[in-house]
Order: sequence, then structure tokens, then C-alpha cells
Amino acid sequence: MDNNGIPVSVMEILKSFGAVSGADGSALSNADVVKGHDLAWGGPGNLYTIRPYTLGPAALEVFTVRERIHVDIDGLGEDLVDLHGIGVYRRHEPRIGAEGAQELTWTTATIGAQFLSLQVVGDSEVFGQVRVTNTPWKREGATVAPAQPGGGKVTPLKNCVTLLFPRFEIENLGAMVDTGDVPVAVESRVNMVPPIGDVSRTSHGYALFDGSRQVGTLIAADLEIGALLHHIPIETAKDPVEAYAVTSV
Amino acid sequence: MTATAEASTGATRLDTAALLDAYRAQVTPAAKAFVEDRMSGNELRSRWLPYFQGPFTEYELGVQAAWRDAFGPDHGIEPGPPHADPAYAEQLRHFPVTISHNNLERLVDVLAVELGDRTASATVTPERVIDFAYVIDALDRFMASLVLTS
Repeated sequence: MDNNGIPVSVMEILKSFGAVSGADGSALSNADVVKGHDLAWGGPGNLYTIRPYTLGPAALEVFTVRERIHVDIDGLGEDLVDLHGIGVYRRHEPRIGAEGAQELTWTTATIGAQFLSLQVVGDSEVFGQVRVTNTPWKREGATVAPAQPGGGKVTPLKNCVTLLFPRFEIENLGAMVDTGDVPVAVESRVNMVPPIGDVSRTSHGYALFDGSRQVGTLIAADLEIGALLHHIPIETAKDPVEAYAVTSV
Repeated sequence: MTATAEASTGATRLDTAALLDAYRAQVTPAAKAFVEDRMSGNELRSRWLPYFQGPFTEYELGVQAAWRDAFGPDHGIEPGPPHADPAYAEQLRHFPVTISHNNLERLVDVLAVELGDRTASATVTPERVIDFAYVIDALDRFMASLVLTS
């Protein structure tokens, strides 16, 4: 059913059909849709700011982060929370990652990064203020590696897998909870580094613990990488391959 | 054909109109069936991948070729900060089409992982179904705006 060749809005169909609970927007609670930062949508006056399909030298980089988490906590309930803040990573020198490749190019490269800091904060009617941080004394990082989405065809697309040990400080629980020894994996598809505009998502839930006691579940997490705030070249950051060698989850 | 890359001559033509036609023919009907609860997560992904791996991948290769035509050959690590020079506005204008497609690919992936052979009404993450409907519409509008201004 089209309107003069223009498709009828899929969002309107979703809202009117009612197959999904909360499709009128109430499922989002106080959060918003995760669609990718505005920088990634272009348009007049919004020229994309990062060189695409281009390898850069190692660097320390700081960028804005938005994280939407869907959490269920025993005794408090379930809610979606929008969190905003910053992330810092040390991006390592690219290396050849495609099997059989002899030349380092965007298409053949694998790029590792060490996550140094994540600090995001948001508010929920159910949980009060929520702050999410990383765990810097554990190995946390990302690997951007060649993908083959075209049935083996070499393309510029790369998989980006990030492993983090997030800690959730929840005001109304009066405690900080985490995922124990299980890292949270978020994955995305990228064609630029740093991945400004990238959206990465979990593919399953994670148990949340207060010490050794399970107190809830991280049902889903969706992350948007926003603006690059700072870029500092690093001379000696080599990729510790074994530490962050994750290519899919 | 959505893109014709001729790197040696610097003539890469990006046909966003053809990509939009393919999107409306292959993706939009599947998206509607999914939000109407008539299509499972796995079926949605099986309808999405031929488009993503076909017309879209061809388009993305064209965007990459257009960038390289303008910026120069890929010799590995390029010196300097990662910021793009606004002098390459024409090439950068099409790049967000690829970012939004790649983000949509991950979203379709996680919907299929969660739902499998079940339909959208079985989801425990309705927020992602809302994300999906929003992005499907937004991507259509964005590509249409590029077609109008090309």
C-alpha cells in the first residue's frame, strides 16, 4: 500500500497494528530510539567528519557515547535508561588481518583498541540515577576485523566487537552491580575508524550480580558512538593481538 | 547496477536512485510484514541479506571507489588526524548511506538472534522493534533526499 510511490511509514504500521507491546512509544519509557548519532545521517550542513575507509596511525581518542540499557532488577522492576557521557580508548596500529593478504589496506586490516574509560550517566523513574563505568583493571577492548558479508566477496565492511565489564551504580538499589566474570559483548559493522556514528548492540542478556548474588538481568544494551572530542597520536601503541582477539559473538 | 567503479579514470557514478528502488522493492515489504507480525526474525534476515549483500554492497564498493578516486590510492596507514577535509564534500555526502545500512544490518542481526522463528510479538526488547521501524523509514527519507539533490 503506497502513497503516490512513497511507501507508507513502517512506524505508522507498527503503531497501528499493535503486535508489539508499547509500540506507541511507551516501550521506550523515558529513552529514545537508537538510530545512530546525528553525525551519521548527513544532510545539509551536516557533512560527515571522519575519513572513511582510511587507516590511521595509533592514537588515544575521546568521544561522546550514548548508551541505552534495558535492565530488570529484583524488587525494583524493569526499565529502559538513556545514559550519556564519554568513552576513551587507545587505538593500536593497524595490521594485516585478512587471510592470505600481503598488503595492508583498509580492506585487509585488523585494528585493535584498548578501552580505557567509559563514564555514562542517566536517570530512571524506576532506578533513580544510574551510572555505568567500565572496569579498568580487567582486559577490555575492541577488535575491528575484515568481514565477508557477500558470500566470501572482499568488501570494505568490518565487524567491530567490543568486550567490556560494565559496572552499574543504581541509586534506588543502593549498590553497584556487574556481570561478574562474564564480559558484555557489543558488536557492530563499521567502515570507518574512529567509528563515529556507529551503533553496537548486544545479542543476548547478562545476569547482574551484587557480589556473588544475582539481583537482576541486563536484557539489552545499545551503544551509539558520537562526536570525536579529542585525538592524540601515539608513537608506540602496537596491537596486543592475543588480548583483544575477538572477531564475532 | 547501483555503482560503477572506474578507479583509474576517477569516474565513479553512484546511483542512489537505483539503490532506493531496490530498498523499496526488497526491504520495505519485508519490514512491513515483520512489524505486522506476519514474518519471523529469521525470515526478515533472510529477506534482508540478499539486498545487503547485493545492491547495497555494490553501492558501498562504489562509495569506497569514489572516496579513493578523490583522496588517492590506499597505501596503508595514512598520516595525520582522522578528520575528513570538507573539500571532499561530494564523496562524503554519500557515506552516511553506508553507515546507516551497516547499523541496520546489526539491528536485523540481533532481532533474528533473539526471535529466531518467532515473530515480533514475542520480543522482550520492543524498543529494538521501534528502532527498526524508525530506521527503515529514516533510511528511505535520507536516500530520497540524496536522489532529489543529485
